[in-house]
Amino acid sequence: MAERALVTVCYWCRYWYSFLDYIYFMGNVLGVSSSFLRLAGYIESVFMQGHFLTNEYFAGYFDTPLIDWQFALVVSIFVGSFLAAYFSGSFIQGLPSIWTERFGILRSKRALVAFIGGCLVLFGARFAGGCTSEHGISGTLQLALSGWLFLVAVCIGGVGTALVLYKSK
Amino acid sequence: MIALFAGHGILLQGVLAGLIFGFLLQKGRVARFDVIVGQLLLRDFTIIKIMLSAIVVGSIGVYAMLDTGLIAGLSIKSVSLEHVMIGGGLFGIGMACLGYCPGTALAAAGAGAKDAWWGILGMLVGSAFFAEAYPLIEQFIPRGDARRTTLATAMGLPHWVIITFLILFFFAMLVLFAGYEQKREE
Repeated sequence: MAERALVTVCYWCRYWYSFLDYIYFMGNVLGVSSSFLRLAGYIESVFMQGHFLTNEYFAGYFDTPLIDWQFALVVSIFVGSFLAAYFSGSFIQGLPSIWTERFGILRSKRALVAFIGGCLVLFGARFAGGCTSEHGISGTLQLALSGWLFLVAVCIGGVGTALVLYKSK
Repeated sequence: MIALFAGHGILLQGVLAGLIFGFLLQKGRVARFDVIVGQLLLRDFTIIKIMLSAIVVGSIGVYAMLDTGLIAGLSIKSVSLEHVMIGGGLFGIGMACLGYCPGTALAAAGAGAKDAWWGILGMLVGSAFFAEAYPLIEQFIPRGDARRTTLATAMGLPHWVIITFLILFFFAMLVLFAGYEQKREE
């Protein structure tokens, strides 16, 4: 009963990300992709230090400590979602149905495409200077032209690819 | 070599924001492949409804804070719009393959989606790959001027006019989607 009430509240709560305003009030900017970049760079700096040091792109990203506000946010998104799933016993099981309808249940196939998709997502995000959090939410709510154009481009690429991949004949 | 930890206070703020964000993403059931790809296939409009509502609420709050002096200025990244569009297109292709964006992939992984883990690994590799490709990209792909333009400046309209339009647009879309979803059920 209490669980149902909580789910209902959160279900409608998702429409009111007013806590986003709190983020800006405290002087932070919502973003996610640069933390992946910095983690990758950090790993490279440990295992391939020489190569890391000659990279001009990474050079601009390590003036601040690795584990900063955004990194804490990124890890906590994972934890927050885990806690939500744990306390309601609603973990995701199996493969997504839109995927299996089109591509079957072979997990390795899904893993490969997910991996490639992940590469493209972050590659595209760094190319654009941000991801859906930074451009798509942060940018758009500040009425930044870059944010809105980003969303348009994501729609074009995303809808086009989805229709090609998943539309059943 | 690289400093590891920022100050405790600021980290705690990040943790709090992330926990709330992750919790809401999971409870709102939006960190799901079927919901996200369903949106891209224009079958399910949950994502666009959420994003528009977040944008509307967020923009009202941020500009109210800006106008009353509660915040000093906006935090818009200075980027080349040409690169934003190319990057966005690639991002979209990747998102259709993966079924998540970076934020929702984290939430999905937390909620048990194993494919999201592969996506996260791919994201680390993809960002390292971009760092490698960066010199070539700078050399061969033209970069327009970096800008911070807002819609208000670009259109020459006061920002509250644009925000009002966004609010109206949001409600119009809600009506449209409701009608469309009803038609699909028939």
